[in-house]
Amino acid sequence: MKKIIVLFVISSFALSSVAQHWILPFKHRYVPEHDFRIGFGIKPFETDEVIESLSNWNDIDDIYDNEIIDFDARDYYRGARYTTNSVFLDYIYQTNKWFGIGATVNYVAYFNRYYDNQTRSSVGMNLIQHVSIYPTVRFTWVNTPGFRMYSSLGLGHRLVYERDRTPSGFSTSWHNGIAGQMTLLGLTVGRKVYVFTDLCTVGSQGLLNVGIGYRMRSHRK
Amino acid sequence: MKNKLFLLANLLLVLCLSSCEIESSECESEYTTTGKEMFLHTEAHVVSWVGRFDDALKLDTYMNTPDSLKETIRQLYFTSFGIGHSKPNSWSVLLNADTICTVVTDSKSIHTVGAIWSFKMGNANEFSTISCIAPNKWQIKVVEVSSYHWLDNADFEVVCTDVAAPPAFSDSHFEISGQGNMTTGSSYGQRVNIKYKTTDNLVHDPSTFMFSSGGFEIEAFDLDKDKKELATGEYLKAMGDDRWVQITSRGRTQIYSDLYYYQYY
Repeated sequence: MKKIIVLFVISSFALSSVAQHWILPFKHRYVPEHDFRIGFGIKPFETDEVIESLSNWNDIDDIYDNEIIDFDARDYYRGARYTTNSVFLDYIYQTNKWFGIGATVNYVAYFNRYYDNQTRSSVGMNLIQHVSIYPTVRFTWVNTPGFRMYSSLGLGHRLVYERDRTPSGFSTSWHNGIAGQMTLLGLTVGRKVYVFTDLCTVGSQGLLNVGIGYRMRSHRK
Repeated sequence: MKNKLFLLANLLLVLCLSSCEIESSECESEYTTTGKEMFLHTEAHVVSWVGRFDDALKLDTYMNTPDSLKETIRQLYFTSFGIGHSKPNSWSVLLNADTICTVVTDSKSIHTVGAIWSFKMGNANEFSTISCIAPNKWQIKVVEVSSYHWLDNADFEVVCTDVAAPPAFSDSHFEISGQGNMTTGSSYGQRVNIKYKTTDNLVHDPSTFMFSSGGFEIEAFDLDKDKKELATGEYLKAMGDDRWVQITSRGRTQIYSDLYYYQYY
């Protein structure tokens, strides 16, 4: 609890400090930064599945399909489905105190086993891997030496690779989709090496992201 | 730096505590689904034709009851139905204005050896026959009868194992053997042909809705996809509306106790 209070007080000071920076003329020119991050996110948003389910409204008609005998009835079932959650790499070129632009690479996998209906033994596996890459812009609205608050937005491409092994066969497939991440509130704590968390965020990386970052000053002024 | 690590450690802890499971297991318990469906359709086929035999027995009881007691018999055996008799030897089971079944007799009781009754479902194209071939023994013959979405063939031998002539199917003991097949038309969606024969006599006793023992050997064909399945179904026991059935298909055997009845007619 103490930590949270301290964090809150710090952010309040930071806000007032930044306000002063905006009001008062800058004394020094901002030195651009290269900002590298590695992070983890939980509950990544499965864009493809949501879009697919929205576009398949008419599938409800299948309920009324007059199937007398299911000749393709499976004698195995899908086990619990898991995700690795997302792992992402982020690079942002912070051009000035409030704006940065860069790119994000994100990886997330989903997997489940198949089990025999009778023996309950494993008889196959499904693995779906998503690799996404998208340009990202970051708007830093509190920028103090040890603490930053920002919002960011990225939108781009997702490549999905699926491997499915069941008692009836083995298949692989590729398909494309969209990927992206929108963060309303992100925090960093630290100067050169820092930790970050995206608290109010949604997208391919997840609903809560944490990680570690490194800022390197650009030599170009 | 300590603060940063503390914060990161806490956030990682949150991540670790969040489960990676995003969807629970399907946990199916049926591994003879195809065989079960084949059995249920086969059973429904037999039940529907046995139902017409039951109508014949009940109509015979009704016909041979004095006029003063006819209404009592109608209420007993055809509670929600009416009985029509517009032409000589022609009787109908009615539901409101709809004819459910038409029976044409040959003036003999269905219990008289040599009697041949014809019957037709409401929208069927052809008559089928019930013949009394021996005391308390009948043959039901269905040849290329098209009704609803099905084209039916069946040949059953029905034996009443009681000494007395049965007034209705549900009140007496029976054994049924025979074979049948049914095919759906293209209008139905899936074109299927199901062929079956009894392996052991189907045994009915008054304490059960239908059969308490006996079994089928069933073949099913998907006429569009050229697929074939084989299955067997065996009644292990029955009590009232419930029955325990052992289904074997694709080399697996499963016992079902919670099957519901398919109903065609």
